[in-house]
Amino acid sequence: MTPPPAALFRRWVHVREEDAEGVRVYRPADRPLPPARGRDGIEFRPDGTFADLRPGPTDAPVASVGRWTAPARDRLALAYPPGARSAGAPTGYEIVELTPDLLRLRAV
Amino acid sequence: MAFDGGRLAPGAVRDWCGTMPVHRRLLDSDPGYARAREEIETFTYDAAREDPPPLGLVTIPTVVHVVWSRPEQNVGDEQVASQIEILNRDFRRRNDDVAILPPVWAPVAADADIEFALVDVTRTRTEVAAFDTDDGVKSARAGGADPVSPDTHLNLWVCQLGGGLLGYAQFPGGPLETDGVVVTFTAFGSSGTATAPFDLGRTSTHEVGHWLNLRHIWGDDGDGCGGDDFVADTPNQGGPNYGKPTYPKVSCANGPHGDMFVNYMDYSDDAAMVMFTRGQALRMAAALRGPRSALLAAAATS
Repeated sequence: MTPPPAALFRRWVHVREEDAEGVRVYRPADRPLPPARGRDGIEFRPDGTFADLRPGPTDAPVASVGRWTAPARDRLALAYPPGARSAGAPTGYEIVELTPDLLRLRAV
Repeated sequence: MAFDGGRLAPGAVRDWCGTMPVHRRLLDSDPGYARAREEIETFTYDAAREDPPPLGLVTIPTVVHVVWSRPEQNVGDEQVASQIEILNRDFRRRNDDVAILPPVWAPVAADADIEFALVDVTRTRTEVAAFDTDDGVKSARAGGADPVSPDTHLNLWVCQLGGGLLGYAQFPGGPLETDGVVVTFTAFGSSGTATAPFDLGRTSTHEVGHWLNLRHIWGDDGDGCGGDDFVADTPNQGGPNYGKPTYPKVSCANGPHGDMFVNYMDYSDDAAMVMFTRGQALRMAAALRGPRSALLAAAATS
């Protein structure tokens, strides 16, 4: 297994208005972002876990922690925890683009 | 550097940032909090069944905390006043834009009989560039401002929130020291820094709805049809709506009228959300009779 690029390991916020042609656009959570109701996000950690972040019942993001593996350097396979509110969430992504300011993921 | 009347808060204590997420996790998993929430839901269910007489007009004393690091975040008194005015219109069904309602929902659009009286505005200068949902903005120690008498007041913090978040709230039954709602400064009120499409003050209306125990209209189950907002007169709905949906927007076999995307507790744009339902008003009244009864007692003696 080839580890994914180190730039992946941070908290990303889904900027859905920039999504195009099946590719989801994420921006770093610690940079200025256009506000929107109900942004989801994802945080990848080097220890093999990820946090799937969804708006909770009082709008603050709530995390479900699952595990990621990397079948290839540009591929991610995600295993969500049982009972997570992630029904229908993609279980695999192709990393289309990854820079310090931008993550583009295509569900596979 | 501009400095008009604010007080310089100490910068965020370095170890605070590490400990607050722990607090949040405790809150989410703390059996005491879970039990308090259960008791509140039982009380609310019983109150709906017993159908008690209306409370009459309840006026909630409100303290606005402006916490700023850049001068534009130090929103002016006029912008604060615009937000209080919007809350008073929305919770009394005196908002002019209620006219956009599809006729089918006009009969259930409710006057919740709740008003808000601004009693103080605090201004705190901070070194925190953007606040997270770890409640740092609610603590002077973390670079924010401590709440004022949260048992008898609504505390409303205005600051720069990070991650593109518009606002967040706390349900009844949570810790007193973090009780209240937080709104980012570009979605506060309807003048000054308020920015479209979140420039009609509806983020505060939505968050105060949560503070009075309202759930999201889609039932907080992602896009599923099994979630419940515990309100009978809101249609069952799949996931949240965004932007300005067109009537009818059908999900979860809820036709012909579809999702009530005009409800303040959906995720539509400010210009598209214009109503609470009667059921939601009853649920808020139950919150005032039960977990937030100290507000009623204070209102009765003031």
